[in-house]
Amino acid sequence: MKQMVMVVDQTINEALRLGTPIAAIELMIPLLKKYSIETVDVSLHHLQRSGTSLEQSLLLPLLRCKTHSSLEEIAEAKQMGFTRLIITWCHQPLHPSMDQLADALAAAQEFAQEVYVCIENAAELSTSELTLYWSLLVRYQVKRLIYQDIGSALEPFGVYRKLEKLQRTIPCPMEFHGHNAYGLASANSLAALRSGVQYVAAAVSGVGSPNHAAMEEVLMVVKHLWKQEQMPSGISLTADCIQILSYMGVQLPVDKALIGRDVFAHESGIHVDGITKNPLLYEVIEPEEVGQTRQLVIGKHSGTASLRIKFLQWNLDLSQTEALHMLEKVRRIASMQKSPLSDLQLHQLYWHRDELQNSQIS
Amino acid sequence: MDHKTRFQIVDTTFRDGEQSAGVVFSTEEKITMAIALDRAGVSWIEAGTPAMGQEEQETLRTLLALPLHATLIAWNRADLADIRASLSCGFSCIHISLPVSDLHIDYKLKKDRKWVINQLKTALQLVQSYGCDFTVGAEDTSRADPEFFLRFADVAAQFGAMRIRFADTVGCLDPFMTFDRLQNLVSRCSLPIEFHGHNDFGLATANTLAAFQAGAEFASVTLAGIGERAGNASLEEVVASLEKFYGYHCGVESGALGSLAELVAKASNRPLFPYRPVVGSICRMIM
Repeated sequence: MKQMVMVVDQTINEALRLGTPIAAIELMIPLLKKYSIETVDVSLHHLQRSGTSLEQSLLLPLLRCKTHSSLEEIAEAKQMGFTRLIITWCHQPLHPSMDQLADALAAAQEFAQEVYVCIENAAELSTSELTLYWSLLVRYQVKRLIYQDIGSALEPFGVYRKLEKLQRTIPCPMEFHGHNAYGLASANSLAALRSGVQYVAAAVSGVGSPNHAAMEEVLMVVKHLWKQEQMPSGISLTADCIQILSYMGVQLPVDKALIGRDVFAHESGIHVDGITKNPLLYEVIEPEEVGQTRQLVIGKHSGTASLRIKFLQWNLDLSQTEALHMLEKVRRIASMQKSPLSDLQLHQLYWHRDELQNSQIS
Repeated sequence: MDHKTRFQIVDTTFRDGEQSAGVVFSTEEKITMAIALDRAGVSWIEAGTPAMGQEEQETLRTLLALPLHATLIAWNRADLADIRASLSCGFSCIHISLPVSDLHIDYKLKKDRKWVINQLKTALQLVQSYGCDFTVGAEDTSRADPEFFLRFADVAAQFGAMRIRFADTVGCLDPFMTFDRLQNLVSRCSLPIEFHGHNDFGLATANTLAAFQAGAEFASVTLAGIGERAGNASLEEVVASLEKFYGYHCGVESGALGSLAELVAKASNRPLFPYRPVVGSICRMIM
């Protein structure tokens, strides 16, 4: 897999669903554009429901409007000024007529510069069922077929196998649009890229209803595990993702892979000791690669090495015996308060360490 | 890929999960979670690290006294004092961990491969002499020489270990890499393999499923994927995925997954992300 990776954003669509104001959305877009965003999908339904008007918006060229195969919806999208249109379609195996889709594509082709077909349940269809659509893709000059897995029906090996096979005969490029009901969307998008697909749907931290592949995971795997250097820099990734989600009123979990607050925080004695000797022992990338910093947390799982390192950061040299005495107290306090110790608490323990030792001796 | 007939869950919420920076479970919370895990059908619970001290040992004794069907496992470094602490708590199932990558052996231990093998032998002699069941963990296997991992496993097998843990300690694999590594090892390894995946790139669940596909027989997971840094493979995602994609029921009731995740969310003071797979509110609403 050596081709460029292009992300089709789904974050903005979720922002619209949540009722995020257009002014905030306009602030989100420049942040997203730093990360291989080729296009931004918005559904006509969310636009209508939120009452958002984009007619004068400078964002329009970047956006693709998702409609059903209804002529009314297509007319509405046209009126809104969209020139890039996705016709979404659900294949009905018992009623496989494609006349309605053909009519919709004909209507879209009259005004849209780019027309896409999204088969929502593609992942649940056989190759022969999907092949039925190839002639329509040619006839209406469909730019790309969007292979959606609306039901999270596939795991990575299935994605790879199916997409690799389809790409041998499909007359236009494909996109992969996975969902994350089972926690596999990022892995599935990576499997799609591995199969040769260039465009994948993703959202910051995988938001969406239904949820998506996490943009930051897909990009950073390609950059760091697959070693593709042309990927965008991640040095402001964490701050950008948090900012984007904050416009939507979404709070990021502290352990969200790559961008969570605590994913470069180390508490356990073994890990802190290791990190001090060589950060690579317990960090897969340097925190700065994604705009984070390493944190040393003192709590229930700390060891004496952690304590000594922590105090050395304040130029306070703790002997091994002092650290050992202090550690028991640290663990007791952490267990009692069910959280790590603050710097103030640690300073208090340090300044009272003699009393601590005496009381333990007695 | 062969259809699997055996794949078991090893829950490490109390050990690797609680090692998550800033997380502390009370004894009462551990009791509640242990009972819930047991009732849901989890057979193996890595209960903690007795070497952490008196207080932890008291909690572990309390857990050991519960009338559970699950086997409780004590996690240990290959250190005789640590192992004695586990034995004195009353554990009859012991996990011994040592690193196997040269990176860890050189930089962390400042030893060599020979020292690791000897240390493993010394530790296993002790647990064997007490008649305990034991499992062995190979830290940082994903960055280790596979031949050394196999040699390490051979030693563990000679002493009678039940299984060997392949630890993707820093989460540096993707599912295709995981499958290739595990497929190569499974057929050559003298012990059943347990896959222990971390989520640093968000791929822990996918990697665990790849290990299953490749013939691993155990997976270590945590509730809500709680664990060091970005956490571990999540129990809910692995259990639900095994059923969804392979029709494999690993013995854990899928109906209990939501309430299990809620328990750890409350105990860790980390509310479940609404977009979280399987158990997040948006996901549950749609499914």
